[in-house]
Amino acid sequence: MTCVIILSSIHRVMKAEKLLKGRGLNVDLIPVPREISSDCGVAIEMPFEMGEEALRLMDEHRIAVHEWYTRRDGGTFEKRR
Amino acid sequence: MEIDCRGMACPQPVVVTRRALEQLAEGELTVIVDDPTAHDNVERFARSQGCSVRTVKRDREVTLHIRKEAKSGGAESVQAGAAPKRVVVYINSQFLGVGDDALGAILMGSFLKTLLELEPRPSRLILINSGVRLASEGSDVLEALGKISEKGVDIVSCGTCLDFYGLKERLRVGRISNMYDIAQSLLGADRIIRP
Repeated sequence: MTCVIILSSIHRVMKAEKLLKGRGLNVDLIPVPREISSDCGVAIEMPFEMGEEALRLMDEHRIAVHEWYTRRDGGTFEKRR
Repeated sequence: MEIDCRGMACPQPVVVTRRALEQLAEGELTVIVDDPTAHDNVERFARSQGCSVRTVKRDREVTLHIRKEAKSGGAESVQAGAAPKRVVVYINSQFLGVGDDALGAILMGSFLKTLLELEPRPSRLILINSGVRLASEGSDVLEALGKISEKGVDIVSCGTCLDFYGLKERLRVGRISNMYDIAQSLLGADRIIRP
């Protein structure tokens, strides 16, 4: 299972990627899945276990999270916030 | 097309979904349910009809995105038959589009990851100039390219370019090719995609 974090702008995504990778979290940028939004956008995906730490770091650095989801291997999304 | 099955009793969601799918020749049908059994039944039914299903859960509510492809052999198959057979994706930079490079790198990653999920699949993906960095050690998109390759897409990198960037020993996905081969596959392509 993975954690998919949606932010409200590409600038925030880039800032968050830099922050998280700098802290050794192996996150991945993915196109926002069609099921979640039809807007053009990029989301941050990571193994589920990393999610809590990533959300904490982003909160600490005041990077506002728009929504976050869990994704099962089959592709089912569940909104968490 | 979207149908709202919230509050419907079993087997109504499946019946409504069946009717909607019969009317739909091709495309996406969105079904909203608020009951786990209805979710299971609608999903199972859609899959049994050869559709692909993706779901999004929001609390009790589940949205099913059911994708129906056109039936082959029907009246619409004339167009399907005319679809290009040899699609070649030609990537001549590690960045997608002209502008900010950091953004260009992200867009290229998004493009490749999206390509992985879409049909028809290209027969070949050509990497040239700094595009060869995408398939070399240290690239952020190695995993996506690996999966594209596993799906049968022939990924070729320009040998001269690998040499120029000092990456000949560091190619991780696909094979090395030369300009004869690359030019030949561009000439022989039914459609060339240049992202």
